[in-house]
Amino acid sequence: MKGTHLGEFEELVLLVVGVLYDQAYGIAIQDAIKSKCKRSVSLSTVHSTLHRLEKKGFLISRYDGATPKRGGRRKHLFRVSVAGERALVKSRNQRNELWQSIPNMALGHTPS
Amino acid sequence: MKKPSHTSPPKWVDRILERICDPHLLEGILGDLHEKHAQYQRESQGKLYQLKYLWVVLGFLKPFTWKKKISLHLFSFPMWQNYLKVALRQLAKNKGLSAINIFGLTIGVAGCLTIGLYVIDEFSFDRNHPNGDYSYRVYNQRITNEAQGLVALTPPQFSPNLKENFPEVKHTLRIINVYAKLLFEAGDKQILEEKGIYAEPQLFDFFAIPLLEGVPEEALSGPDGILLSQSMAQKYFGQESALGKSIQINGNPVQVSGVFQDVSPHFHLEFDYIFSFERLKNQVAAERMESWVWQQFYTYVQLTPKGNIKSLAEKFLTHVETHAYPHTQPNGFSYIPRFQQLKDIHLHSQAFQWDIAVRGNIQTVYALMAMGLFLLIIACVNFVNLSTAYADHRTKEVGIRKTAGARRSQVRFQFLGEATLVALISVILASILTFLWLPHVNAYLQKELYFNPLTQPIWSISLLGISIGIGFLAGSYPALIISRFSPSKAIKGLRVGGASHKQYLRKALVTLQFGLSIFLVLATLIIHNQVNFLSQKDLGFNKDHVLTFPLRGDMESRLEEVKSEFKRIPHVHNATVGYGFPGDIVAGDLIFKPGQEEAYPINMFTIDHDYIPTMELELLAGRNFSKQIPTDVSEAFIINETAVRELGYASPASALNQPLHWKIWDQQDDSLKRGRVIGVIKDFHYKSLREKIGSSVLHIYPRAYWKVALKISGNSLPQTLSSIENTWNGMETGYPFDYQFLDESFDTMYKEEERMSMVLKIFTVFTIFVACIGLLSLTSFSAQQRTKEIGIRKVMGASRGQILELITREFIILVGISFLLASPLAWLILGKWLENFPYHVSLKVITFLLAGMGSLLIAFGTIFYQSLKAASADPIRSLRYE
Repeated sequence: MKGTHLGEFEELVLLVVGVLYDQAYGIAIQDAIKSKCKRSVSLSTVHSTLHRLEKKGFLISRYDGATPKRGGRRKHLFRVSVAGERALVKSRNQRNELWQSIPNMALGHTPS
Repeated sequence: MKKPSHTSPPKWVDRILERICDPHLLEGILGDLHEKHAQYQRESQGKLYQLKYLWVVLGFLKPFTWKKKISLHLFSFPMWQNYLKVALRQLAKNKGLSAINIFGLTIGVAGCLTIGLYVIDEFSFDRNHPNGDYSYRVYNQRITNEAQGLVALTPPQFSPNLKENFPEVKHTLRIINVYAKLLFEAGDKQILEEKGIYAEPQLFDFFAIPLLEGVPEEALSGPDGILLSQSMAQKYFGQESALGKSIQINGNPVQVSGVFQDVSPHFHLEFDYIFSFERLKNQVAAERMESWVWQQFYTYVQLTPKGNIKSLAEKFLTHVETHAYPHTQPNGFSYIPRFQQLKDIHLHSQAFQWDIAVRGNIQTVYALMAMGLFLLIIACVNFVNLSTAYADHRTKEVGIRKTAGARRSQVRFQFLGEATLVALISVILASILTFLWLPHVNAYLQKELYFNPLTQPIWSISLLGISIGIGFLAGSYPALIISRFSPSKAIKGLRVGGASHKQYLRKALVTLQFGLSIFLVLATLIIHNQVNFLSQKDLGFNKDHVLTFPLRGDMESRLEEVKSEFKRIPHVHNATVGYGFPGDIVAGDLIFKPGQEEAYPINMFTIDHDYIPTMELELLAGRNFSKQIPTDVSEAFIINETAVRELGYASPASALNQPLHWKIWDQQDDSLKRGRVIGVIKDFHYKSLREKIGSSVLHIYPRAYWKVALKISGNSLPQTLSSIENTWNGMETGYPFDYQFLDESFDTMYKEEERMSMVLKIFTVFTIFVACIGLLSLTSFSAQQRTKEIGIRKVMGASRGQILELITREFIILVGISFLLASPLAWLILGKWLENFPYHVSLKVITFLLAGMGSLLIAFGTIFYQSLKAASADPIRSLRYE
């Protein structure tokens, strides 16, 4: 298994899965990324990222919620695992630390 | 129109994804895709959403969705290293087996390569002519009362009639061969030249013959010009420009009007010089050029790109029926004009009479291709058999590989790779072998085949392809078997490969090998018999020690003197002059029975009194021409047996004294030679045995004489020849002495068959050899497998003979079956081949029995030693085996 490094897009998907709690599957995630982050990504990219995250152990998946629109097929639903949560926290802490150690004079060009 | 609220996405997309996707992901992917499809359908107006949908689907055809991760494990470099190491170790471990495998394949591939080179060469004739696809040669199917045959020669009228009456004909061309040897003189050079043609200027529209000097439009326009080939121009004029120079031909000056590049060896015509057609027209009466009867021309037509050859052939036949038949039918024949593409001339004209084209034989080419294929199949079969047989020895390796995580596809790949490696080694060795023996092959076949993969990248690529091809062909079955081993059984060393179906396959393959070998043996025997028959058949005359040369200078005016001068030389037994010697040109003509309309087509021999004794022809009835009877010159005919039959006489004796009429040549007023039959000779073969003897008439007509024949004794040949040459030189004809032996010209007729017989012999030996080494190693393998069984049998009291029988019986039965399969096939195919010859050996059962016994003996001899070794082994040791 590859390392447990969390890529930028992977982090984004992981966060969105958290946001959509228990309703996170391919299309929903794609739509959420589009509406919340204004980013267009292809469906297959989302799928391959989900697959990768699951292989790294950051996501847990199950099948549920068939609809006629899906040709009677169940959704592949994802949830953030404990390891995933840890990775997210670690990433956020790293960023916070970095934020706090930026001297005031270095930034301030954009109003927050 | 209202759209249906919901259509489901294309089913085939689902099916493709179901095929390739990991089942764990499949449902989610398909579900999402269907949802996406519905969403796109809702949003879009037209049909374009389908494309958008397909684009999304395309995104899922990526490795992460696949159930098989082929790409990853097959391209791991360390594994490749390991495969190579194991493969080389395997080769080194079973040195004998590897050597047999590689050697057999090498022989097979080298044979195939050589055949391939030859076949490619044969098929590359006349491929590079401008508009070659629209150019055709006209030939005739000639029909007489008795027979019909294909003739390459056509009347002079064909060409103008084709050109003027059919708009789809763009160009036509007539060529006529210069049959005689002409004496060329320039500077101090004086040489008899053989290969020349008369051609119309359209020659350059048909064939790629680049002019080095002169211009195509003028080169063939004047009556006194001649075009020389580059090498001929260099022979007479050295490095200087030959254009405009004068050259004496048979004493008459002509001007060189151009020099052409030597014709390609892949051109069906072969000539060193070209005369213009104007020159021919000066020599031939104008009304003869309008003849429909006189057939001496090779006619070519080129169509416009829109022209259709089939419709032209039909229309031209109708044209010929109305214009030509009124002239030809009174002469006892008619013809159907046919057309063949330029590129077909070389290989598809073997049945033509009077063809000057450089001809191959499509049958020979196909036979060779079959032989090459046979050889390769047999070599591959060895490979398959040995690999599957020895697969049992590698069960443990495969078991461990699988336990350590190797997939079936990996094992398969490994074994395919090993086979390919062996094939590659064999192909490299075979290339070296081919490269080395090609000069000898060229010398034998008189070809200019060239092969060097190092300078011909196309060959190196093809050879690599061939190696991979053979590797897959020979390796796929063993790979399939081996990769199927279940690891637990494999590690325990159980014989997974002992399953009966494999044994059947091995048996079937051995049968195939020996069937092919026996077939080749039979073919070799029968063709050998036929070639022997051709060269040894009693021809009805004595062809030994007869030499012929043309009359030159003033010899024609003092024939009797010339003959006696030659006869004065010791060892010269007899001399005769005439037109119509066996193996040489023989005239076709007509003979009439007085009071009958119908003419009989015959072969005409115009000879003198000494012809029959010199040739040692046998008289069945009547007498030879006699110098004591002066009327024999003007009123006597001698005919052969066939003529007796075809002219309708009951017997040779009753043919005597029957009246016959002949239209005298070179007479404008149709005057007749009126004579009677004075003798009947036994049929003699004046043409090759491929042709039936026709009706023949012999009579005295000195104006047509053009050759002298001397019968000499076989002793002190060199002295006799030099005395003859001295006498020739004493006659001061101005020509060098140029002679031919009759038996030589006869032997050249069967060159093709002799070559085929020789090639077949070589390949049969190859094939049998390769099949035998395969059998040998199979026997030794089988004996090794049954070591324990044999040991137990011996302990239980089996004799050596019984054990021997046990091992050999199986193989002998297989060879027997192969014989039963191969011989009917050989009977059919070779029977067909023999039918090409009007005079041929008959198929004899004894030949077949001989071949069968021979192959049994060879097979038995091959396996005997191995079997004996196994049968004599000490049972104690056998039982301890493993």
